[in-house]
Amino acid sequence: MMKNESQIAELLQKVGARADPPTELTSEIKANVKLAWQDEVAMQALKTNSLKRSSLKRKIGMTLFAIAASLFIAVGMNMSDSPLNQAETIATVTKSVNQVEYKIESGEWQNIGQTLIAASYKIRTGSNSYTSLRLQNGMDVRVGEDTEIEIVNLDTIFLSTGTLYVDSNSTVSGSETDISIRTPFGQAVDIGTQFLVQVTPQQWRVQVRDGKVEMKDDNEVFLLESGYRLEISESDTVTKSPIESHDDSWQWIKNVSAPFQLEGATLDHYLEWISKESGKKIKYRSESAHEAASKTILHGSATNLASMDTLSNIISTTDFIIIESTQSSIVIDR
Amino acid sequence: MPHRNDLILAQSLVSGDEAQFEIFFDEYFPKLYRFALTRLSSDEDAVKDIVQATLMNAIRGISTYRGDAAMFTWLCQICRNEINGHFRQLAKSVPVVPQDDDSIRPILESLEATNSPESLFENLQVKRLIQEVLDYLPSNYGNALEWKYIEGFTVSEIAERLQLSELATQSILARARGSFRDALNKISPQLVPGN
Repeated sequence: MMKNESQIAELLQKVGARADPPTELTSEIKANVKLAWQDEVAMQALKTNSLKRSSLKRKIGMTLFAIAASLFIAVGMNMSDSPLNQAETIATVTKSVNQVEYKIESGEWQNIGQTLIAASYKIRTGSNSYTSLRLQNGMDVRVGEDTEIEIVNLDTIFLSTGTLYVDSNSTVSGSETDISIRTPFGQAVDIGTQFLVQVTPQQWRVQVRDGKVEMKDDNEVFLLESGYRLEISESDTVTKSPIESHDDSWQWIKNVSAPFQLEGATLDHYLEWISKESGKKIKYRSESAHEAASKTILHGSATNLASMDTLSNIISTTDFIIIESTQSSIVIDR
Repeated sequence: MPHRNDLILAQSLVSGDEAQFEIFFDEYFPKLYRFALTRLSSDEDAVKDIVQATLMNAIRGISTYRGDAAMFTWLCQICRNEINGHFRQLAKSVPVVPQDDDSIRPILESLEATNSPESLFENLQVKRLIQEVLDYLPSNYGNALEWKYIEGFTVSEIAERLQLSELATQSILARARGSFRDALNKISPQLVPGN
């Protein structure tokens, strides 16, 4: 053991003083970090205000409900379940395959059908069953098989088990809000992106097809870029690996593709949709081909619009040709 | 709550307290800079990118900080992840999340191959490792040790800097020496003179 003060003095003198970072570098990084901090503070303030508004709305709603309930009792009427008020709707079901159910708080699980979804609704899917939701802000959310979620509000979905895909860049109404997917292990916050979150009892995983996602748990924050998958196990083992945009793990989302209105759509809009659904990049041989595609209007209707066969058939009715189609891209020319 | 002061600092940052941001940056940026410099073989460009990314990520996730680990330990973990990503891009052969021991082990192995204690201190990495020990100590401990034993300040001058009485400063110095000795012993008893 080091016995006295002089030995520590001698050691520290040999080592020398800790070097401070260069002043210019310090100023530059401080300015950049400060901007990020100010953004974060603003974002937290927005979230807090949004929560306060939700809480106020809930309180008002509960008061109104209490008044309405006492009126019903007073006149001795039989109250039955009324359809969800349009104002309470925060999501609609766009497509469901096989066994998909919902429930309200502690109620019974019921077949989802075309139910309008409000805050705090829970949704679950069975084996080989899927559903897609369109949130009021335009976000496209797809629920994989054997999954259970709760739509907490427009900003937050709780994924307790299974797989969830989010396209926050949905072109339908151009959402600009972040969505946070909370899991028992941590949360994933999108930064303008298409991404997938999967939860099992042993781990949680996020994979990003486009844009970026912030993964947070109690200890760490990871910023995950497109083309990567990050898995964090129950024992905190972290594994990051590359993932292609057309990897098999994305393919289930096509089972519940949001409907695409072919009639009147431009070819480039349809191809952009195909790209989102398939993960394949659309490349135009020339700028003029891209420009022409943006002016080509499609007509008619077709089923299974996301399939490559349907794409070939539709292209054949135009002046365009597919000159190359690989696992990762489709090259278009005219 | 094990790291209450750090948690309060984090909460102040979330609430937008600018003075606390200054304290946070001035306290942790130099430490993280040195932490990254040691692990990146003095690659200044990489250090700059990684430390900036670390602080950005930390700031964006500051609301998730719960005080379970010291703030500096939390920041070092984020920094370590950034460094891993950097090496992965360079060579794709670095383990994803090395533990503290993994980053220190190569240095210790190089120490074992060194015969004379004098030559230990010619090794830049060893110097930085010991400086990192100072960074891991509470700020006033590390600073007090440096001011006293490297820069030669008197207890009275240190007391003035710390805005404490001389008696309290002597107490800080004694505790700082104890913590430094313990930390160094944990990392490498070989580095402690008299062992």
